[in-house]
Amino acid sequence: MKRILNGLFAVGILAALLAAMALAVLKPKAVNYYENRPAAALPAFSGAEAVSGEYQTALETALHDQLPAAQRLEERYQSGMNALVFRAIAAQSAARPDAYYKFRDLMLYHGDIVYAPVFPEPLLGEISHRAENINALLSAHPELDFYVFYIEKDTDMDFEANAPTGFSDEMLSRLWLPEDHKAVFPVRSFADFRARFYRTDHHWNCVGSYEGYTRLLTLLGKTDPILPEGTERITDTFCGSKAITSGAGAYFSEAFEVYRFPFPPMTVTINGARASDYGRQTQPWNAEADGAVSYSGWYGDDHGEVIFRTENTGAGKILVLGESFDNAIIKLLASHYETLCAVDLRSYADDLGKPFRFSDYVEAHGIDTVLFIGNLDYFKVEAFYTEG
Amino acid sequence: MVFSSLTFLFAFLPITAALYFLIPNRIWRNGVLLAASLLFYAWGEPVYILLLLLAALEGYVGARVMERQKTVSGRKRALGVTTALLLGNLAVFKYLGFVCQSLTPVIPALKNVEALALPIGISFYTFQILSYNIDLYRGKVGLQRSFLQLLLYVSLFPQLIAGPIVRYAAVEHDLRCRAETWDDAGAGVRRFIRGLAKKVLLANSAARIAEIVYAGDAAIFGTGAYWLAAVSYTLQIYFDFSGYSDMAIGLGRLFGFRFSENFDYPYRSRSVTEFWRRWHISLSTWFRDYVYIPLGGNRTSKAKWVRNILVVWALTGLWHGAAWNFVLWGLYYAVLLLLEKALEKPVLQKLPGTLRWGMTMLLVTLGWVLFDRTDMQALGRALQTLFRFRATDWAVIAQYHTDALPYLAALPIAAVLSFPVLKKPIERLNETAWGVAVLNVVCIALLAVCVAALISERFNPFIYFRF
Repeated sequence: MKRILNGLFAVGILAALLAAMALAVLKPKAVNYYENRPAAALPAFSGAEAVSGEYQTALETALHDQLPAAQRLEERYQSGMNALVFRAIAAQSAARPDAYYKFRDLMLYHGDIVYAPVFPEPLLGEISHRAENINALLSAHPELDFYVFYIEKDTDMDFEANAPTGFSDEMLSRLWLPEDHKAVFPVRSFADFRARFYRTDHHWNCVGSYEGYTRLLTLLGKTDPILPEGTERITDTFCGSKAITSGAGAYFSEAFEVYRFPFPPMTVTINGARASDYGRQTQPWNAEADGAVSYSGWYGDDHGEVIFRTENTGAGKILVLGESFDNAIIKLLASHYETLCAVDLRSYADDLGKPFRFSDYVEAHGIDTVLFIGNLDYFKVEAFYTEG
Repeated sequence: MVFSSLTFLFAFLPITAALYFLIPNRIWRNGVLLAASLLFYAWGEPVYILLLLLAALEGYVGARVMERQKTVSGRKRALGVTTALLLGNLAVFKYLGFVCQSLTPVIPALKNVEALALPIGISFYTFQILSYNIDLYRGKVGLQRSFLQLLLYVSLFPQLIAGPIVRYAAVEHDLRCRAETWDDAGAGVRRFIRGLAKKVLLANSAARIAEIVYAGDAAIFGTGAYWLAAVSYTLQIYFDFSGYSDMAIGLGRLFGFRFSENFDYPYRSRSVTEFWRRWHISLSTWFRDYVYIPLGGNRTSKAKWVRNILVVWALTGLWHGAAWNFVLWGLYYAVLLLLEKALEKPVLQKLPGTLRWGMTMLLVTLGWVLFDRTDMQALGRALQTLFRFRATDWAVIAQYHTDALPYLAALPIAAVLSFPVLKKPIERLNETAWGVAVLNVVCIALLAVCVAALISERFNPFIYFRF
């Protein structure tokens, strides 16, 4: 009997391993849903790459994605590890809520997941380069009205020390703009942050985005902000990308509330094609049909180009060079202009099939005002650099 | 290729096993093993496989020439030339850079001599081939007339890149006629999975703790943290190396080979002498049989005996790596062994066993610090921090190194399992069919967890991989 068990065990294990390999070869996967990226494909054999070792590395990498149940196993393993870590630090955080505790790529502070503060000193090079990039456009286009709106968030505040990191000051001080053409959406305490940002998503919530919109209007010299008609709770169990990608999705959820606005009539063009709307702000959200709500699902996605045209003839044409934070307010902002062109440089080239050329764009659309708007990453990452 | 890679687990091993067991003929089975072993080595060293083939050829030709000699001096000469060639390979590929770097203060021109990339497993297979030739000279084994059979012995993939160092005498018979049984297959696969779990779950966890401490801010990681790192590394190296040996022995058993044990719970030792009887047994016995005893061992004058100890341990240190910290590590043990011998009767025998164990573990742990810190400055810093008290900011570590928590949790488990707590229970379970069934289920679960960990943690080479 022992012999049979031993034989079955050895054969079973080896057969299972072989079967898994066969499945990986015969039924390849295109996407690694757990890590939210394209799955590495099994490489074709190449003698030269085998000699250099590249083939071997590529094969090993591909097997991580292609083996059957690999993603499920990885998810279970990571969940187990996250659970161990989270329980340990949650207990510590409860005892010392005013201290940061690192959880994966985030921090736990007062029982909430936040990003670690980013101090400007190690990034002065990047800050200078970004400033140079913007200043070059300012110099090349004196005919345009430029504005900069920096959205502070948890990265701009050391909550433990209750002091701002100073990144926004370092950035804005380097820009050749008069003071009344620069503004900050300030986060100067944890209470500020909690009130105006999601717990589980890195974006501002409806309170924060509406306040951002009103501050922006002041900066741009516009008046009469559109007032919300009411507040609506879409769901009580919203879990945003910050929690999910950090492995904290199992421990956090929150209400997703939105304001309803009486938007004026406007046409919307997304990536050159006419669209019925941008986002779902004028429509009801049906959980059964639409699935779980998300920030971009509600406010609108990070398209390369979104153009709003209103009936406000003569109110000006503004180019908004931003990122996902402004998705929540560009429709509101568009209500004060004749035309609002919102460009996200991360996806412009892919979506429009051509590189973004600032001068050409401004001329083609008759732009008279340009707004740079974003959070710390917008002012740090090269993807947002604008070529003249 | 390493055993703890997905390529090995899901492609190489099952395909090799399938081809091997589908073929009934012994010669063809050996052919499959040889081809698989060469592929295994070439996978990681597509160029240096030629060096492996060259070394095997040197050993083969040297043995054939030796057998043709009619006089003892002729046989000695043949052995001498073969040994010089084999050690010459090792000298060039492993030690050239080290020697040149060390002599640069005296001969500045040597600064421009670049070290060659170290071929995987060169120390292991060189010693295996040497053992064959020396044992042939001593009449302990017969001449292997087939180059392919000898090459199979040298390149056998279960033990090729990180041991155990298998003597030709141990496998001479098995190469020609061995019996692969279902019991051996089952036991072999279970042993393999046990070794895999040791490596992936315990060794890799302990490794993370040591990494975090040594890479961390010196202002935060003080004496307490450095001792934690030293203990972590002590556990890491044991589970890494013994885990690999388990996998090698398990794989060998699957294919009908019986390799000797390489580790016998060394961390239960109550003396450094005992530790070296339990740690990397195949290496310590190799040096004993081929260096220490030929030099005279302890059957000589006291002065020569001390010389023999120093030579063997300096060589043992050097075998582990071409750097001064390894030489220091080897000589550290030489001094400890000499002191132990001198103090055994008058002092050490009178001490309680627990105290002797504690002292041994302290010395072994310190030895691993010498072994691990290959940069002399880093070694100096580590020793200073260990012995000149500097406070550790545990509060900050608890805040900012929370990713270490799961690995910290693994340390006590690893510490307990470094003792033979499961040895008797496993032996008892192995005696009955239901016991084997239980072990099989546990191994299946362990394998699943290991695969999950491998997928999640990506690149994880063995410590002894580059020796």
